[in-house]
Amino acid sequence: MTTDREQFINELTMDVTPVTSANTRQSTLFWLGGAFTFAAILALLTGPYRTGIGHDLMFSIQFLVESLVGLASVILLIYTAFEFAIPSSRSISRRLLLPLLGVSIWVGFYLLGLVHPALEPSMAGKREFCYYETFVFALPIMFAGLIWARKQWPLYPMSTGLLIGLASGFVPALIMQFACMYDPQHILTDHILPGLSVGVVGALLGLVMLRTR
Amino acid sequence: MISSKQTALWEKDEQRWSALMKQSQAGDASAYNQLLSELGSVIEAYLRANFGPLAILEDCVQESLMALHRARHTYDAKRAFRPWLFTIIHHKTIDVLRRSETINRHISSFAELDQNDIDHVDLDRMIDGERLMANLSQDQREAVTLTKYHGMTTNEAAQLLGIKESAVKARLRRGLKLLQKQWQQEWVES
Repeated sequence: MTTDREQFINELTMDVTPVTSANTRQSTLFWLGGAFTFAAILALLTGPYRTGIGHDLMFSIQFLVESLVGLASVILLIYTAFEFAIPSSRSISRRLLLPLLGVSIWVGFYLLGLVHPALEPSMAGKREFCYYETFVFALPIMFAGLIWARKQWPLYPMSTGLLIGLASGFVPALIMQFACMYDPQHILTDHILPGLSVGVVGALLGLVMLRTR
Repeated sequence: MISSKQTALWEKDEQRWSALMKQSQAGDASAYNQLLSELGSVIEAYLRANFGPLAILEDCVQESLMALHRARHTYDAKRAFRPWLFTIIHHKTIDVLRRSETINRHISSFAELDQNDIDHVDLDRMIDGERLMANLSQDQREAVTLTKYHGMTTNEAAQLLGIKESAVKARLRRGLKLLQKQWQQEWVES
């Protein structure tokens, strides 16, 4: 070992401070808890939830399943995003497969709903600005995710940002499933679409915020 | 063929580094010093084996050690140590090589400009080359730069980029084809 390196290591280790080891599962749980609480409260503050949600969940299996698939997609998206922030030799494309498949299935349910809706399409509970609400509610959640990832060691800034953005966009989109009117076409254009656009914003912000190496 | 003795040694190293890192995360300076000293030699051997005699080898080693220091909180003792370690080294080395390449390019550009008897045709070619390279995709530019500028083999470039050799060859072929096409097109237009 060169003297130069020895000195370098001595300087690095001299004042080493204890650090808390990153735990992606725990962080995912914290983020999910915070994100859903935040979006649910904001949705409640900006308007009432649709009536009869409990009944819809109990008596329409398709509605229950599409809501659960949406939740599973958000969990997969944010967990994968947080895993991307930890150095690992696992293939990026394989790791992207599962969350993106989840999103595709979720969107697929609404496409199916265009011909075979889970509930009778209705204007009941319609919110005037649900498109903007979905987008705006997602932004603070997205920033919280990006800040967490920035504190780790993200090797793929754009993909990590995209996944965080999508997860953040889909949290209020999923809340709107209960807080706004039920019509698959409306859900696709006014809830899912702003969620997807938050994904694009996340990818762009990831390029800026997560290039910290 | 890997012998059982080598496997046992490999396992022993893995466990020791993992334990040392765990102690380091708790703030144990001597464990951390021992870990970084051992890893310094491992990184040096890895770089020599993968990239040959690098002029900036010591820079790469120290930059990698610094990266490990900054990323030490991302190590989870429940996971394998080596993939975590080599992913950081791999990415850090690419960063250092890219940076050094950019610096070298600037230095050589300035050095050429300093010459009194500057050959304007060569200068035009140099600027033209950089301009044409800018039109390539990031992947293609990396493949062309590593093989044609740094003189690496496609196998070495593949190891550095962490992709298959066939992918490097494909990127190189597409990149060179595009360069040739652009150059021919501009030549015909002029």
